[in-house]
Amino acid sequence: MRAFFKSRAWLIRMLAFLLVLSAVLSGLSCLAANLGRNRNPLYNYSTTSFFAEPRDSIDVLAIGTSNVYSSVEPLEWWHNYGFTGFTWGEASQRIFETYEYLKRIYAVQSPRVVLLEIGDLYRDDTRAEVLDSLLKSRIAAVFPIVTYHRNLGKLSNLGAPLHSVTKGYLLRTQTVSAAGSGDYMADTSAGKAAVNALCAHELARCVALCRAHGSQVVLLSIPDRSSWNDDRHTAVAALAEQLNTPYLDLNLALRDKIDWKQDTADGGVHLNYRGAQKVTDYLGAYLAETYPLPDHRSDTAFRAWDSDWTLFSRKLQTL
Amino acid sequence: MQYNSWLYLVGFLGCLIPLYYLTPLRCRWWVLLAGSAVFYGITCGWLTAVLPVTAAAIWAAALQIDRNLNPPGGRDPKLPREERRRLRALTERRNRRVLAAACILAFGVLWCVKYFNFAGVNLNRLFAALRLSARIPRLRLLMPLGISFYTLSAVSYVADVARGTCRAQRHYGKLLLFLMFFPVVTEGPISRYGQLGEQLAQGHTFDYRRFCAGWQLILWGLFQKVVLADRLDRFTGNLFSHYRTYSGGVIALAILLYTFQLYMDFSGCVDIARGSAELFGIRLAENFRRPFFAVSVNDFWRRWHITLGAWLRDYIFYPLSMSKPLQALSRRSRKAVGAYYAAVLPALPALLGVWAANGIWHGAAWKYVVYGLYYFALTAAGMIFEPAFARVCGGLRIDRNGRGFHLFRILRTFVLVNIGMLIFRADNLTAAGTMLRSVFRPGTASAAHVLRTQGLPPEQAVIVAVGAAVVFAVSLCREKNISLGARIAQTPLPVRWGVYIAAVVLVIAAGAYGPGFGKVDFIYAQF
Repeated sequence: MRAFFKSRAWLIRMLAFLLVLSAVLSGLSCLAANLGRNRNPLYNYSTTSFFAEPRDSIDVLAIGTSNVYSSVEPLEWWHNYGFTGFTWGEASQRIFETYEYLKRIYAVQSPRVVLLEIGDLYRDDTRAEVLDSLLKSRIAAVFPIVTYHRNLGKLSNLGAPLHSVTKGYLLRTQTVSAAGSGDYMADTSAGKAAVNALCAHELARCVALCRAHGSQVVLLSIPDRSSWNDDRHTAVAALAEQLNTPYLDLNLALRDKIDWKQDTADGGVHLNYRGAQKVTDYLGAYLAETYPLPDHRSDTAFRAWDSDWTLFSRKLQTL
Repeated sequence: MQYNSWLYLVGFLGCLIPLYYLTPLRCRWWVLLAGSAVFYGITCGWLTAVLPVTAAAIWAAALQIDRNLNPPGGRDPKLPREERRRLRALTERRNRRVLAAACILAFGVLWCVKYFNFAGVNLNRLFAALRLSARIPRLRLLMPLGISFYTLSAVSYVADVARGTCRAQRHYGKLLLFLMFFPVVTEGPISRYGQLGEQLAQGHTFDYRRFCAGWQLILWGLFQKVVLADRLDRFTGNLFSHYRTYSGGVIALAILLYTFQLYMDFSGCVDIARGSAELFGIRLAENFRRPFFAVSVNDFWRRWHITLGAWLRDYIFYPLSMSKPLQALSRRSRKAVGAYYAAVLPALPALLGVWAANGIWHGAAWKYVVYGLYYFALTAAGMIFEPAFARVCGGLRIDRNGRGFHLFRILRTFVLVNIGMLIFRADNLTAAGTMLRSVFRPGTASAAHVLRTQGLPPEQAVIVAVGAAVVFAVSLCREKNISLGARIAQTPLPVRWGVYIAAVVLVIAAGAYGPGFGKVDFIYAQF
């Protein structure tokens, strides 16, 4: 036995090295995730702040890419309808990461409705990139530093509060008009922009996971002039039909309402506050009409939502 | 599959390494072949089919040449000398034909996918000038990964068999592995069969030291690519796209940073490739040897993309310069021009061939041809004016072996190489000319402002500056034959592990990937 281990000392050394490396990466992951929070809770849209919410207190979860945190304001829903919501958005979040995040989310919350933003389905161009995203999401589930590594440069955020006043929404007030004036959703009849099979499979897993936890799932496309088009809409609509899931494409639903000269923060990629209001209003009305969501406004357990709304609305008045 | 992706580093290598060492020694090359096929298949899809077809033709051609050179049963030694000479000449003729057919096929495939449209555009211009109605259509051609690299390896293999430098590989799978070996298929180094082929065919036992050295190289390559090269991509991309907006030092800075980016990108890729091969006990040829310590452009090309330079030297320069007509020219001109220029004369047409091939190999555009010719002009001028230059230095009592002159030569080469890089990176020759002129115009914006607004804000610029200093220090050590990798490997375990962990954390934490950074393919993989 001793001889076996002596001849394989390198193996033990390598395993020990990997163990130490894992411990270091875990520690740095924890730090990097925390440094992603803004010191001002009004501008804190970090996904980690989701875990500051009381257990099972969120009715609607909107999850996806930066389009979600730039466009969905859950406090407006609270103010208008009384149901609670949270926006979980990470820049360039892939569907594989969405699945990993949903697993963590369901450990503490049981949202009745999940708005699954699918802008990321087309993010990777090649099969190798899709596979890379898949593997990265699994690694990031263990070592989040892989996703949050850039936060390590924001040491001034150390000790920032977990609480997010805006419930994950990022208030963007600047306006940078989009170039061009054509209808980016015009029917080109160029055929379907096929969704990668692995991405489609992961989307189905996300839907199944949500359903297994009793959530209703709605697929969602946020208005995005820079990357969405009619072909992609057609492909996702077909996918939604296969999954027997409603699909809200706000690129079409708000086609006449979004003004790409006024409602975008960066030339047509993300919406600013004006555009976000239109998205939020539409979604609020849709959710209130379609799903029996509770009104918590008279519930004393949800007082904190009133104070958050007060802070947020005060900020809005200064704009 | 990018070498700097999680898919490659964790998924692919993580599966292949244990599989390789758990397979019986004799069969380990099969694991490498299967791994290379998976690597190539994931990256290229159906285009993967092109490589095995080319490999089959090369394999058959080399076997035929080998059979001609070494007939079964050998040559009858009792044959009269005349007959032996006749047979040798016949064999040489036959082999030349087979070699030519193999080259035409290998370069033909490369030409079809890489140069067809370029040729078509230029011929169409010619037809239009001659008022001919003929038009060559533009085709949507897809290039298999690494075709420019494996084509050169394939041709060198058949040529080496024909020269008798190496014997033909009888097993098709082993030759396919030589051409398809996953670490070299993206950006080289361009391998010779004699150096790599046999290594691949043998199984290698696990060597802990080499394994660690392999990971050291991979980490160093990742640092160059992910931390430095990719961080510069947005800035250089913006400046080269909007070059008309800027002038003066800003343009000079863009050229300088692009040169650094290209070096870090290419050298990083090759270091990852060499490190990956080392994990399997396979040693690849060195492709870079501190190129910016070069004292002349010739020296630069002996240090930069070494394997391409060596290929062009062995398969274009020597055959051309040693050809009968050029040697005859040298002999005839000796009296008229003297011994020095008689030696230079046959080298010049051969150099023209080398540099034209070097230029066009890089891409199907005139700027690449000019890029090659630029180096030809510099090399030729250096050779032609060398006696005059030596006289001037002698007259001015400049010590050509002194430190100051050595530094001057390094700086001169650095400037000339940067001009070459400008031609290489600019959108076209007009843009390159405009940028070069605008370097000498007064600047309209401060470099600090441009850096901040065009993708290299102060915190990123600091990382690049510190990284560049680290690269310089490491290069200096290597230039003085100090191997930092070996020194680290000899330090006590806590120090060694500390260095390795710090390196992994540095690459993960300071890497230019994820939100805020675009996807950056390896630059040379596009050639």
